[in-house]
Amino acid sequence: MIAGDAKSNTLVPSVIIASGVTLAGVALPLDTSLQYTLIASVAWAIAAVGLDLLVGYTGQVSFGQAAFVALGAYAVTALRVHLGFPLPLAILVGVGLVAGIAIVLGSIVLRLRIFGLAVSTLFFGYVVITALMGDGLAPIFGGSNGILAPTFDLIGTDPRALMLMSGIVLIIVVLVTANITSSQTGRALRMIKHNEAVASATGIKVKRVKLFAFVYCSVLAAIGGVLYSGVVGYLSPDGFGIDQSISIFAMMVVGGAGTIGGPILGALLITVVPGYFLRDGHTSAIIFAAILLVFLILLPEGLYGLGQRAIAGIRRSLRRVWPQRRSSSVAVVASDAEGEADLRGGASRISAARMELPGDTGDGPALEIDDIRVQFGDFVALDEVSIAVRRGSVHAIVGPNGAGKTTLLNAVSGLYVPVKGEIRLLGESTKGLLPHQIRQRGVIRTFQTPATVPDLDVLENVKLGLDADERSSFWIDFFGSLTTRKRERALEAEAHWALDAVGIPRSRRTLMVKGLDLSEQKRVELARGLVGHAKILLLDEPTAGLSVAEMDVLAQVLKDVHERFDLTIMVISHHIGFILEIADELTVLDYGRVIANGEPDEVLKRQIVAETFLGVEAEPDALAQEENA
Amino acid sequence: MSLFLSAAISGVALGLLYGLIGFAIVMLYKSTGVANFAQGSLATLGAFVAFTFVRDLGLPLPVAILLALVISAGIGIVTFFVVMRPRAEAGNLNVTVRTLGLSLLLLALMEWQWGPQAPYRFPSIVEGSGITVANVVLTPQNLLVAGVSAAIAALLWAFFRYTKAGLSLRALAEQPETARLLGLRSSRLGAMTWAISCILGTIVAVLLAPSAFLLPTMMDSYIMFTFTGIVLGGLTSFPGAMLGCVIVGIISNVTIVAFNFEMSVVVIFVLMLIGMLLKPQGILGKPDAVRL
Amino acid sequence: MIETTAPAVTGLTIRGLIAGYGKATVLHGLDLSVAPGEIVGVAGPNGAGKTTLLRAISGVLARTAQELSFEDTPLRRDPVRSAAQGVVHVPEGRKLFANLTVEENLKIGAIGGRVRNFAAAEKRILAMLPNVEPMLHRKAGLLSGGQQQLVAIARGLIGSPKILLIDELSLGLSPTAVASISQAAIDSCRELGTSVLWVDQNVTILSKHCDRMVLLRDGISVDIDMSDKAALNSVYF
Repeated sequence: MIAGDAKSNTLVPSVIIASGVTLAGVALPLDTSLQYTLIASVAWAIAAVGLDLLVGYTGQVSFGQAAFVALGAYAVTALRVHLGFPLPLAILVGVGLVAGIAIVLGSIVLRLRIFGLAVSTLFFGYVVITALMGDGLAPIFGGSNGILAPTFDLIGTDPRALMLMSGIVLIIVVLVTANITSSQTGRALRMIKHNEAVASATGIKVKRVKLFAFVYCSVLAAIGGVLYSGVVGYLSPDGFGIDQSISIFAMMVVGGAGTIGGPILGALLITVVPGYFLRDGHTSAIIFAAILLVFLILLPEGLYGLGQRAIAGIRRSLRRVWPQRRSSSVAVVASDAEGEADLRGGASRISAARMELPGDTGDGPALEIDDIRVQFGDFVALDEVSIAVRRGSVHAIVGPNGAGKTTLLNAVSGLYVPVKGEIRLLGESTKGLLPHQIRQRGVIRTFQTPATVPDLDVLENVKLGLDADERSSFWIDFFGSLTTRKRERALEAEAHWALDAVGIPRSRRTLMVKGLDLSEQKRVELARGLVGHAKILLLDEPTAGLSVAEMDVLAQVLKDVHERFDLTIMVISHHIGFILEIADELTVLDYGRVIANGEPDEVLKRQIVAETFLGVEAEPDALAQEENA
Repeated sequence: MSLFLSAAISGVALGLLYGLIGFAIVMLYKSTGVANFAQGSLATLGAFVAFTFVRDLGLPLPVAILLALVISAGIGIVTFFVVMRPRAEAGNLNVTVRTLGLSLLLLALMEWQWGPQAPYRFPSIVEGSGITVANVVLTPQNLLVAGVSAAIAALLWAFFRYTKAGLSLRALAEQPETARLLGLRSSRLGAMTWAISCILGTIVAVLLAPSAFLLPTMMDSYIMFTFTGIVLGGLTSFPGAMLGCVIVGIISNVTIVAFNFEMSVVVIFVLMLIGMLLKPQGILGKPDAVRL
Repeated sequence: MIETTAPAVTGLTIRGLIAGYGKATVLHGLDLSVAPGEIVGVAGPNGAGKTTLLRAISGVLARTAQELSFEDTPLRRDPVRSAAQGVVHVPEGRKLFANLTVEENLKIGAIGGRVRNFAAAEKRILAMLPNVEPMLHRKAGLLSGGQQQLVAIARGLIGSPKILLIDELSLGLSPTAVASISQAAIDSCRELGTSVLWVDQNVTILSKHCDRMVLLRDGISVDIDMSDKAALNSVYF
């Protein structure tokens, strides 16, 4: 699966793969031709890793990667040859230029669906190669005759030195990329891949993050291009066409998308095997295409996935020969003590953070929905809906299917824009705000079908809830392993606290979310909502699909949290028992309108509400009587 | 001036051709969610098959073309069952990239078989010097292309409107899950869609080959422009695809005449970017739910 | 009218049905049966699994069961096959083909139901649901919710299915629309001898038309005594 699951914990295997390749190239007695092919494959591997971040982790697409490689190679070469730039300056300026082009292109094409993205990047590649081939730019780039690329000073043409340098660059690229994918930005990338609307509601600035991924991908391609120019000595547009872009894509697919290390394996396979072992151009082209198809259809997890399965199999056989002794009791005790400290730390941290929230003065309602109307084309989903949610209360919304309850929540969280009326948060209107901006104001919501990220484990999913409140920075995620690590530990403390609150045992917190059952997934999503510094929590049918026992647990959790943090909660539910237990106020919706509002006990006794719920055939006279009573 | 006018008119003819390929792509996309990047190679393969019948078996051109169409349909059906259908639950992106792989495979095979002596002269279906209307020359080829496009568009329209299969495809394209739920046999329909796609492709290739010269990469640049036309006009709209393709045809042809081929590529690319900025879903496209 | 003598042919039989989405199971071993010609209603709040139940039966969802068969033939995980077997699903939210006309929608139902003579089938369905006739040449997307629901029923019945699975008929419809459409739908089913498994939130309408009712709770089904008014009223409490 290309848009399948991105893996976590790929840092160590990926570094091992990268180092292995470097070592092999430097230490083994290979003939020169093979060495040069190996170095070229490292250059392509770097481009493939960049593509992996964009495709495997963020779920986007680019079929113009080879064009960016070309741009990097040509830019640096032209700067050195025509303007006499020293190598470091040429690299800086050249890569910078490529990044600039990527920013411009990305800003335009990333707003498209995958198909449009595919076509536009494909075409971009075509344009670049056509321009490079053309006579117009020939004075600078050599046209179809190509251009001689000077070697790198200090390294010259010694293949081992080139290999060492390339290998080091590859390892650094792997480290940086792995750092990004396991950081706050990495979580955002995966959320975007999973569902952009939900990502926005969680506070992620989707456009910015997508652009980051696109630019990172192109920058890595440019770096690969720079290396390639140092190896190959002579650049011609032929080697950077659409075929090559598809090759890079194939390297990622065959190696395993979403793994970082996988694309390196893929690059090796696809560059070395045809380039060195199969000299005949036709056969290698046919075999390459066949390999790609086979992997796409039968082995979507790629070489990396196959390797993982092989290693797991070996581990199992070894364990049968040497069974492990139970040394876990010590570890349990240790983690419990750790856990206690985390709990206390986590809870106090959240309390402290909430105290600091600005603008939370006054006694007005926490949320005011003022006569709003939401419509889709001709269909009016909500009309004349006015609800005031008192600060610190638990306000329930009920109504039959199709009454507009989720639409209401979507309007409050910014996913839908009312055509009439206004929504005010703590007195301030939310007109014109995007979902992630509303999230920043402290509105956190959950979704009916748990919007958890399947690629991430439970803990990571919960940490996502905090990311909106942390000041995000791509730079920190790039380099600061120390800074990132410290921040991640603090986030973990809060996440653990929230998971304790919703009753997910420690042992299950490192599992992938897709391995949990429905009620657990709902609780994970709730934990994610709890852990953000919410002023208002919007819960969409948290009880749907839960058993009576599970509902009791949930009610308890909500009551606890509500008291502890003085949260305002708006909750949609069908389960009257649950509502009676936790709600202070109840609004009943039907056909997009408010038909009753007040204290739960009292509202539920009204005839008109019973009719709405049970669907008694309304006789017009009876209705009028009820309204007048 | 008449040079540009002439270029514009043959650009319309060119655009109609792109539009025909575009129909095939949109039809496939709507019914299966797959963007078929192998459309060009499959079409070229069809043309080569026809060519082989003429050159090596000495068959008359119309017969050769007919046979090639039948074989193309067969290739389409095989492609569906061997490449597209297995493990289709891997996702639309995966299946779409398979079409890229297929394209490469076909290209490599064609290069291997016919590459060394390419390009070939493909016999023209019509001869003659054409007619002149208001200072503009319309070659028989232009007229043939226009005629064939119109005929096919009409046939397709009738097919979709009046036949059971056409109706089923429309339903499948609109809501595949509901169509299956109601009992429509999606694999038969999928195979049919691929067969029709390939037939359309071969028709276009056979019309293009006389002027473009037959070689394995013959359709590459055409496909690029077709895809651009589709993106411009609206991915899920048949009239949109045709409109977009005709626009691309006219503008690219005029630019080629005014400047050169490279310039036309750049101009069309910029046009596409502008279109994306102004209306990402295409001129006649609807901003609806994401399939791919 | 409830048949008290068991007919020779069995209808829909489900035992131990487990289904859900990925690892989130919603149905935990459900038992249910529908005899030929019987109208069975399934009530339950949102998220209880009503739609999951129907989708599991028609084969759209992955499921396991000790037994899941119709007329003693197992129902495979293939909606196309199920439809051909006479198990037709009218999906939640109608899901008409908006860009096709009403008549074209009916044709699709007929194609899926392997109907040989469309004209005759159409005539018969229009006789049972006359309100569809004036809409025949209108685009389905332009109809009101109630009109769409009627067409969806007609589309489901045109192939004379053996059992109709109706998903949330009352969803988003006004009470009068619900009343008239339910009446027309159930009358037509009785006339055709089609059994019905009708899933809905509206307990009252179910109790009016169904021979038997069941409550979906905690992933399994619990029988409801339809004569106990008080029990019916507190179904969700």
